[in-house]
Amino acid sequence: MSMTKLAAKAVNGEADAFLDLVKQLENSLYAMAKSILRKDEDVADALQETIMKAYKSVTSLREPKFFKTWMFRILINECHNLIAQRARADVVADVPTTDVAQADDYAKVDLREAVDRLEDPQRIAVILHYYEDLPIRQVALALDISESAAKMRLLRARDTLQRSLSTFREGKMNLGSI
Amino acid sequence: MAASNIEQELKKAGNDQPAMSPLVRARLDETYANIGGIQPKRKGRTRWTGLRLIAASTAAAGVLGIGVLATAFASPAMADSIRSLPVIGSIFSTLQGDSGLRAAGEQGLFATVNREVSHEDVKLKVTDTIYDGTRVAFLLTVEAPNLKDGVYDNGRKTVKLGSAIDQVVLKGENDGGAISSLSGAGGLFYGGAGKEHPNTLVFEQVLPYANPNDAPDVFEASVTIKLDGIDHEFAFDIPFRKTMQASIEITPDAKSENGDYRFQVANVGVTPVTTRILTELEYKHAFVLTNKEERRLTRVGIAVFDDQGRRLTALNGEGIVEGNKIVYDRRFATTPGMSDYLTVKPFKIEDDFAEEVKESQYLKGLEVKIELPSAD
Repeated sequence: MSMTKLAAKAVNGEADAFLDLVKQLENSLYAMAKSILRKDEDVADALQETIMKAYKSVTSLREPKFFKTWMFRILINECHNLIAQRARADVVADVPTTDVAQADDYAKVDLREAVDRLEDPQRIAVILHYYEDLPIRQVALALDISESAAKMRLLRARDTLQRSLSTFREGKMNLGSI
Repeated sequence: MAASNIEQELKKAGNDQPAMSPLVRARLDETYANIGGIQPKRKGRTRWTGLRLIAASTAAAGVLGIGVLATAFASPAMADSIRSLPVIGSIFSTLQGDSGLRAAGEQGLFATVNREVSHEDVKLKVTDTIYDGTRVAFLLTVEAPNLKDGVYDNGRKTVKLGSAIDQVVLKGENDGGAISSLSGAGGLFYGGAGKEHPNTLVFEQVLPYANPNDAPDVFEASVTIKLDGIDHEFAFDIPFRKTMQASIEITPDAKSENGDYRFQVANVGVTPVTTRILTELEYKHAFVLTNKEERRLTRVGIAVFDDQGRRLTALNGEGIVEGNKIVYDRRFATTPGMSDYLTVKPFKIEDDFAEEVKESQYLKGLEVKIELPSAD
């Protein structure tokens, strides 16, 4: 069943449909929360709170097709709430663990790492638009900003990525030549 | 990497999501297991906090009877009812999110009930109620050692008080008979009562009566509430009596049309708290609507303004498609004071998350003006 149909059932109060939907999105939600919070305990808290809040108010969602956008909006708010509650040092002290990549995945890993190093607003916009395939308008909705602001964040993100990847590659070439 | 390739590479990179840790996996499974035992809030809007949706459900059929002109706001009967009520202030008068409830609080159009129930060291107290025949509202204050400044500790983590309400049920009885559809007319909503009253919640239920004058003057409701982390059901019996006797009910001959639509305001009911408006929007180019046309009609909301240009806060509503038109029964919060007329402007819903309506969203030629009878 399509996500929109499931969302329509969830909006009508069907718990099973809501659960099916959330399970479809859980990896994406996890990736977003992980990208913002890093620490797994915090990620678990944010996801749990997001899912409970979404479930309790899913019947107020007017447009089922916006379910995914709506979930991300709740999650991003929850993550930022958690950050506000925690001491900053506590949040950044935990360096994320990175999976070991295969050789031909290096380019992708480089890019993902570069995305991970983006500032929060740009990184979240990149994840929503490029990783989650949300149109600009829904990125704007999820972040509660204008479409032009969303476009600007993505443009700046691409500029930053362009610069950081170039710098990184030049560094590798220099190392190689020694 | 060339600039033109970055977008493609980013999309590919999105396919490699990080593997979920066992800790998060376990917490998610625990959350899923807990969901089965919780009821989602009833269909409607988010109030007082966070997002607010302008329009309402199109699911349920709301068929209204034709109302007739009743009495106006400041009738002698109403003046008496105002005088008979306590003049002390109510938290209702401080609500920012609902001008109707706020006005009722400011004018003393509420009743003091002071019902309280306790379990161990947790006390729930219902203090004030408002009932105008169209909706009921009550204030619930929670006292608990694990509640401070509206933040509730459920033993696992801290949440806002509003998020700590696990379940709430309101059932009404009138002369021994159940008001069976009480819960079917838009549902029970609740939200915080503002920063000044962090431990108080406002609950509200729209009633099923087409005409508020048909609603009983008094009824008793049983309310049960469960708080997160407490294995106990708090139960109240709350008496509701109309805290205002007068309402305006008119059947205006207010119609408009443009190239595509005919619009009509079929019925208007106004109390100092709630304004109820029944509209019909007809698509002129079809006898029976296709799915696409039906969807287009359901994406038309109405904005209502008083004679001072203040927009009435949308509460909720139900619509039904009949042939080539949609009939909508909507409720709005009445603005303070007495308006000589209401302006009703249909608009195209573009953004479900936004409350503001841009000028370009209004459907040209469909605005109608409803004259309201003057007060006695």
